[in-house]
Amino acid sequence: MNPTLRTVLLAVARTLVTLILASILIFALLRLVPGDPAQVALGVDATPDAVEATRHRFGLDRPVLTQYGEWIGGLLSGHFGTSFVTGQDMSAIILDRTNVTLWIVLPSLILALLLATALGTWSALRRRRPEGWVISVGSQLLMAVPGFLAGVLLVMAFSLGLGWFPPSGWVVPSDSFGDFLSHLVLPIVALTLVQAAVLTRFVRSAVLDVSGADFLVEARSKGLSRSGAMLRHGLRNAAVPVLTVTGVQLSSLLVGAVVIETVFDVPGVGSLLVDAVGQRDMVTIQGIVMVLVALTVLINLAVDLVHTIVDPRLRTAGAHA
Amino acid sequence: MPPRTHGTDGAARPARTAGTRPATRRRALDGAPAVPEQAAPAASFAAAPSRRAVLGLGLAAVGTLALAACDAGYTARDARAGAPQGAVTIALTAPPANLDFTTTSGAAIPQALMGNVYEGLVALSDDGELVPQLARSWEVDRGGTVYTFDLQRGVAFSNGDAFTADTVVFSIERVLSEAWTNGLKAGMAVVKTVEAVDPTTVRITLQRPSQAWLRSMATLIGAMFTPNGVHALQTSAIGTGPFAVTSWKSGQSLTLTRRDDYWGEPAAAPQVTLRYFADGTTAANALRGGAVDAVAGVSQPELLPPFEKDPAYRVTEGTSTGEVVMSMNNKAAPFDDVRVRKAVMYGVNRKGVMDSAYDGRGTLIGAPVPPTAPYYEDLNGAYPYEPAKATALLKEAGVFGSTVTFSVPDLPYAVASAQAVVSDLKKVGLNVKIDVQEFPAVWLQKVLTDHAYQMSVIAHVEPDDLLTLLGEGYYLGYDYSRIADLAASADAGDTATYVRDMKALVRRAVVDDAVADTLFLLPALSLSRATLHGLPVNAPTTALDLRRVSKA
Repeated sequence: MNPTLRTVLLAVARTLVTLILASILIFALLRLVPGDPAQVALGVDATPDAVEATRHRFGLDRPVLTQYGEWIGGLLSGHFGTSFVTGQDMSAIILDRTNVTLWIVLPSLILALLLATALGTWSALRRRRPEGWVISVGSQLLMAVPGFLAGVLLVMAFSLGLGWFPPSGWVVPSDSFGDFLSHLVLPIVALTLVQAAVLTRFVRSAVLDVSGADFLVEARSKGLSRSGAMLRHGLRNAAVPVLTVTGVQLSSLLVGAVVIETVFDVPGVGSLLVDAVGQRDMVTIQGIVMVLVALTVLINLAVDLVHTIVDPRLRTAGAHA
Repeated sequence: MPPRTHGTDGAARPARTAGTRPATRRRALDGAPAVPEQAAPAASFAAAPSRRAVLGLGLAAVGTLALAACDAGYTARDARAGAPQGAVTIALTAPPANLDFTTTSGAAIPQALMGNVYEGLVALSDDGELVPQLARSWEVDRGGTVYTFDLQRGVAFSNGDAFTADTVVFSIERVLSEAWTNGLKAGMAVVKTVEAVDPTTVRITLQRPSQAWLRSMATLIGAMFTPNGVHALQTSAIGTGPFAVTSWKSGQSLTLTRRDDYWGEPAAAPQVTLRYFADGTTAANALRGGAVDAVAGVSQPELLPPFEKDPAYRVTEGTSTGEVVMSMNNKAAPFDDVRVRKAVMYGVNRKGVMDSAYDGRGTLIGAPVPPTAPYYEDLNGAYPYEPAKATALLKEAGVFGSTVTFSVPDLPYAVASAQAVVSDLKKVGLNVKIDVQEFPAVWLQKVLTDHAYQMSVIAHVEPDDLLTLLGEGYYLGYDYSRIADLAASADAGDTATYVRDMKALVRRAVVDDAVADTLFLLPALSLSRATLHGLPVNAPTTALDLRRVSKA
């Protein structure tokens, strides 16, 4: 079999198994967490009879397996189900709100990678000079800044202070693309800064790791300059650990997005999830977590595949396995 | 995803854009005679075409996942685009889970809908007086059990249905039926029969005289529904009020549009949008940035000082019905001993708690009765702050130096109050350990339902909720038989008797039995642009009356 194809198929199979296990785990955990949606709906005036009646109306008194089967059946046909808390079919809402979050997360991820590659490499190459040292210390400091604080500070400076960007809110791009972009800037910057700081540290150490490697010495001996050799050969090798970390960072990026959405009042999937957890809205929580797991797993799959491109050793290993 | 042609178009574009950059970069790297590849020329050769395929596949997957449609956020879009001149936007911080208060409790739904969309036969004025609404007038027979209501003429629901005596019968019978699960429905239990005498006259017969019933008719259980409007209460609201719901984006915004066919004086603003923010600071920033005209129900008083100094804004502080009640489980040690409860009452500096938890805003009331209730009495003097007395009582009860657990919901005012209480009680010889619990889910389960707690604190916001608090089986653990006689005679008597007996009841429960320590009454805080008028100052019920709100 074509080694690349084999790698791809294995990765896809792994992804499917992960998704099935995740669905079982999500479903089970949600039912073990303390807190009853019927009770939350009825609040401080609840009577035991009303709680019982509400559990029945929500369908929570049915066997757990029936509930799971119904959920999975719905998922396979593309429906997340109707939330008993909001009374709405959540499919369109979950996908749309995920879409909003991706508008913030993906540009932040790309920008953070670009920024981190440039700064990390530079600070590794200049590690004995002041500017390299400044980047290194700066990124360490920025790593310690919570996304929440970064967001609040950005709003104070660039929105309330300078008036360049609106402090919060969201505009649907097709309504006004300009307004959409201006609302997007601060959340993306806030998320990018914190992520870039983390990734810069990884790029720096990855570049430092490869800088003493034989192939770089060989490249230098062919007459390439130090930075030339690093750019043409070193980065490619340094990319392997950085990519791995990027995949892992993705989940922290989604967590960061929850905070950023709150600070900037962005109607993303994070704020939807927080509301749903507060109300123990099982249908919505299950749907969102499943989408997030699927996204993370699929992006990790993409990262794996990109690995096999960046690192030919993985392909040959596959061929001999 | 619904078939939105618009979105499908956009989906492809950003996918391609996202792809270009990394692809170009990688191609540049491919071109270089990289050393590791030379080590495995065969693999490199074989992989060349499929590598691009894999890359394409990956990017297509990412692109599809990005769903980068140009209508991202359409499910949260409020109706302000194309809003009429004079439209008002008000920020709130607690989104309702849905629009159905018949099956969902909490203040958020009636806050938005009562008085604005739904109306009752009677209403409570800003200072807590009963005033006519959908009933022009009413009479009570001498026995105090038969109420005859004369209804407003020419009233229509927002779906066009007429409001008649039959609608009243339908609405009240529905409260009594299983369709309602909100616990407040208990206020309607005293009703024996409802009859439509003629299209504009309704006769309601009670099982026994009840002073509390008519007041409860001014709250959400008195809301009038049309039989054609109750099929999808979670997502739609059809009432007789001055506004109709024109857009509801769950958790995000609710848009109310003025009804031109409203039976009474029409609302001042053509449209009011309520926008829900997860964070008070973000809401305040939105006010500064011009996205909203006011923030109502501010729960973070520390946000207010900068606005108070700025003449472009107005800050108002009124009274609410939110009593912050520090409960002591009357049925569990050590608080099953009245001496220990009294010790806590003497040992906690309520003024100090209010200062640290709510910036000193609010009202010290001494009992779980707001000043707007007819039987309110200032009971602050009953248990003054006297640490020495507290210590003596603790020693007498034999619990001096012992430790209790304080189950605190994770709400800012509750946590701040608890911290102040802990330091006060430590000084008098009671160690308190704070256990912060997620609110509502975990707190409701452990404290409210299982009564598995020693101390807790929460604001009870429903008007006239005193008898609920003291009720048999409620989490405070109070022995209702202590006040049952007074409760019965108060409810059955005339207004003067009601006030007299309710006052006696409060004194017995709060002063004699030290049932719970009412720390303070939450203020109704609002923050608005100075050009916005008509936002109510007080909150005598949970409703936020929007009919007089307008922009200058």
